[in-house]
Amino acid sequence: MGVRQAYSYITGSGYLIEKEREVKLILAALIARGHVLIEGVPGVAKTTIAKTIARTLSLDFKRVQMTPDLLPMDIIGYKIFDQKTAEFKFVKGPIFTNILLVDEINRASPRTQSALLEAMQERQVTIEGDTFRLDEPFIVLATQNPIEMEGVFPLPEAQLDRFLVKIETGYPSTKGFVEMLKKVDEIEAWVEAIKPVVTKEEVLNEIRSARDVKVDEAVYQYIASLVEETRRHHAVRLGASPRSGIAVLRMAKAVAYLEGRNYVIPDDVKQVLAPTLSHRIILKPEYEVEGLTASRVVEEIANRVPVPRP
Amino acid sequence: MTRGVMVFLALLYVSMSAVASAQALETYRHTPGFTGFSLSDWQEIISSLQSGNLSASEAQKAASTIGTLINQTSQLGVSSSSLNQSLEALYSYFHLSSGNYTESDILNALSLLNNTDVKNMLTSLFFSYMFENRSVSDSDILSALERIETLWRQGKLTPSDYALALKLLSILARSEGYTYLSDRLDSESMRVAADALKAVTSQLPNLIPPNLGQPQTPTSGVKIGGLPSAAFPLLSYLSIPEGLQTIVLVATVVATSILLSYLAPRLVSKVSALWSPTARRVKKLVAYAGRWGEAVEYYWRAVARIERATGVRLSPSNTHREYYNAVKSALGGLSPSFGRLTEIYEARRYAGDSRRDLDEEARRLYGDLVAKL
Repeated sequence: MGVRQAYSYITGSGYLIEKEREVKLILAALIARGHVLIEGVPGVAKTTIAKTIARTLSLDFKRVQMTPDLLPMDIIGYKIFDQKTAEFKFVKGPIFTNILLVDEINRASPRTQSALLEAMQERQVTIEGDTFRLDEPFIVLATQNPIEMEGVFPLPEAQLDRFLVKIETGYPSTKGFVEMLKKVDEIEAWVEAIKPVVTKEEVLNEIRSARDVKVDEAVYQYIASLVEETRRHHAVRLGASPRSGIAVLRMAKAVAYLEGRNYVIPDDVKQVLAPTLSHRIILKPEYEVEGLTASRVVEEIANRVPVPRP
Repeated sequence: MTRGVMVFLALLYVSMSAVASAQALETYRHTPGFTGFSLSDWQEIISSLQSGNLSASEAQKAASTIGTLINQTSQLGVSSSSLNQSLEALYSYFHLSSGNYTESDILNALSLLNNTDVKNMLTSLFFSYMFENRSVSDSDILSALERIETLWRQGKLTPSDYALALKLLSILARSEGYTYLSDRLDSESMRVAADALKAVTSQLPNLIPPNLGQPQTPTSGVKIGGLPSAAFPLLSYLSIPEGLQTIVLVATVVATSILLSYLAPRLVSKVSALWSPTARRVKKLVAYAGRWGEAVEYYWRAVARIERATGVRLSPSNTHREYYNAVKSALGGLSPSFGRLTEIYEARRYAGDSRRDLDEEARRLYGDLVAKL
């Protein structure tokens, strides 16, 4: 139980309408100790999902709205001279939390983005020679608007690689939208009234347990084939790296764990493939111009590479 | 447009073309070239010829009919060169018999004669008469007649050539005022012409029905035109009454399309169910699956069975759960059994779960599927 219980609680509540996939991937990324980049237009429940997960897991939650004039110290913290003690005192930035929602990450300057992404990777910050460990568990849920073109600093490919998964979230279906409109007041009240169903310690234990999920030799081969296929695809300029394969493996294990299994099956690999690989491969410009997306390429590869038999 | 529809249209076109081709060959039987008058008129013409009393109007009708026959046999491609020559000679014979002819018609008739001796002899006589203004004596005519009759008896003349030659001699005799000779030649030529017509009849049994007294009712002979004809050129030979042809064609196409669109998927499913790629590989798979125990083996046997029963195949890139979801609705009440068998397979295959009771459960589930599929 634990994170699995939280997953069942959130999806079973019926308030996060048509967001089961997003919740599952975020929880899997938490278990896999990764960070999540959520790409979607404003107003598609990104903050609500983050808040709900934080409250359900009894984790600290902070939100930072990125702007071009935001400085690295506004995220990671700074030292200030305390006249009473005649010493420098460290004031922690919002990064010292368990779940950090970074809204519109591509609006921050490259300098601030870089400081944040480095902290995400190292899970620690160093200021004037002093190193401070970040809290565990720690997950960054960064959002970006795919439509915004002006006044933004797109994340370079190397920085994108810091995110374990990229989730593309969109509008609900008409049916889901109508249901949401009917429940709008209830949803707000429900999010505010959520009681934690898991303690922080339980989450940490589960992160450790998920590492023991068994992976068969054939599944390792399957992951390798899928990743290598991205390098052979005619529309791909730069295929997925070995680190991408590791990301697929970690996410597949986490998903298997969330689904109550202690072994990975090819379905786990397939369902995490697009979120883990689509932001790590670069398409040839001529195909991009034609409207081909990395997600579609990954999907095509998943539908081509044979699943382990027998 | 789906491949099925394309195949269907192609098949429809081939079938309609086959029907049209068959009808094209049948057309002359149904429309034997008696435009404007009936078979009984034709019979009357033959009777008149046999009795030697062919009137000018009857000769005109006969010429017109033979002209139509020449056109039809040419269009349908059913005429041989000898038949065509006979028809041409007979046309010329009746045209001259109608009395409405010119010098060029006579020259044309001379050119139609096949036998060179007869052609030269008659040409020489007509040249003397027409261009040299020399009179032709009755002895010259009788001498020519004798020669022609000798050739006829020797079988060197066709009936139509013989009739035409006699007719030409008759014209010459009449022009020179030898009426008695001309009448005799006319009478003889008519008898021979009747034989020539019968010879043509024997060569075109379908064109002129042998039972002349009871003519078949010919189809109105209206050809399909317009859009259907443009789409299916061969359909222009189909003989369907004008008011019905488009309705019949459209109704046939719609009804056949509906029927095929209903039957084709079922047929394809039934046919494909007979062939299961997994079944072909099952021996190999089972042999290899033995490494993971009976449960995995039963799973593959079940997949082969389900492929045959549902026609839904497990493609190489399909996961086992994807396949289960694909066949769930087709399996109906059996889907929980196959779902559980899939779980057992996964546990054994990917987790190495070696519990004996999994094998037993897999065997039971497989038995359940086989019994009820």
